[in-house]
Amino acid sequence: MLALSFPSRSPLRSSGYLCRFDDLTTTSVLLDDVMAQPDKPERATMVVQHETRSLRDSRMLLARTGLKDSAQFIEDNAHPRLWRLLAETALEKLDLNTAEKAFVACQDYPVR
Amino acid sequence: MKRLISVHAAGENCVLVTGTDPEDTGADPLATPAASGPYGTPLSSQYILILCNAIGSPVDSKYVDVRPDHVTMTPFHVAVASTDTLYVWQYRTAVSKLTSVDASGAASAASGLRRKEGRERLFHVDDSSVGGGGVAAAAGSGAAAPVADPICSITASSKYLLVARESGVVLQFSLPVVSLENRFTLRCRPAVMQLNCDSTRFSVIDIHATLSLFDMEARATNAMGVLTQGEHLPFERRDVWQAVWAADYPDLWAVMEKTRMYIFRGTEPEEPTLR
Repeated sequence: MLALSFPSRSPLRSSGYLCRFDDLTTTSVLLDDVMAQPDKPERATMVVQHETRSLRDSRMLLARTGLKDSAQFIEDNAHPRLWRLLAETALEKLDLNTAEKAFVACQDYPVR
Repeated sequence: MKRLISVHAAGENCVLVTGTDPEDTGADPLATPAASGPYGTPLSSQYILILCNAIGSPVDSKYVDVRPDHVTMTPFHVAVASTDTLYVWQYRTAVSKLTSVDASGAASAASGLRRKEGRERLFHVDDSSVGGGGVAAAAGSGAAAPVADPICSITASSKYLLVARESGVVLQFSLPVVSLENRFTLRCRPAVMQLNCDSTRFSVIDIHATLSLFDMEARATNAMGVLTQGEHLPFERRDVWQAVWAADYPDLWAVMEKTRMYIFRGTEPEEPTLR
């Protein structure tokens, strides 16, 4: 098991209304800002997305260490979103075996 | 849109809840506020549930007599509750067809109509015979005296409809066939409840903004030696105004405490707080 120490972080400061939580990502809408100009809401500034720790940690691992160590971490924290991240990263690095395994793990493959 | 009471969305649809009474143009609405029910719902002789598709076009509607104090929506059902009466409308079936379209299909006219009857349920919360009878069978029960233990919150998933009452009793109805499965007792008066994605737990925010969790799968034997199902977990968080479960992971949820957002795995915060 990897023994990386990640910086502990404070909770996210937000007054947003949580509208969705899937793929390890929360989506909030800043309703105060929307109500200030209800006729022209702006997606870029009024919708806030926040990734959960396991997704951010996986990203960091993939950037700092190899695919193999990251794959172990993702296996321990299994979630389809993490496997997809591994699969896409592996594709970019042309590690097709890892990519195939990861795509299978997140069930993203054509059924014949 | 006039007389809009609330908006709810799930999956590819949303439902607009409105009153039917014509707009009162003469009086200043600020000077003479409209009469409202115990949960602030404007009073009207009837209410309309307008089902809309993903681009906001109305595709179906229902007129109901139940005052929509509490409304919840899943990708298959709309449930409406006043303080004493429940109305459940299954607007979509598991084969991903709107029930209105299903019923009007000429080829399956006979079977469609027969099934349509089961798509709507109206019943009194104290009606112990839930399961039989459609709208017509239970229509008379709404005129009864005020209920002793009013409904204070409802929520639903694809599996269950949960109905909480002011005493802290939560009735668990199975879906899509509405029948009473279980009865849980909470230690608080719920204001908002949310079920997780596999319908094993639900979160409760009570009227004092304290959040707690209830495990519906837990089994225990109480002091009387009787097997009880469900456990109100001792875990609590204060000053909570919203909690949302992850749509794809049963143990993961996010919570808003004042202006802070925390993400929890089970009962452990994922992000340690600053001391």
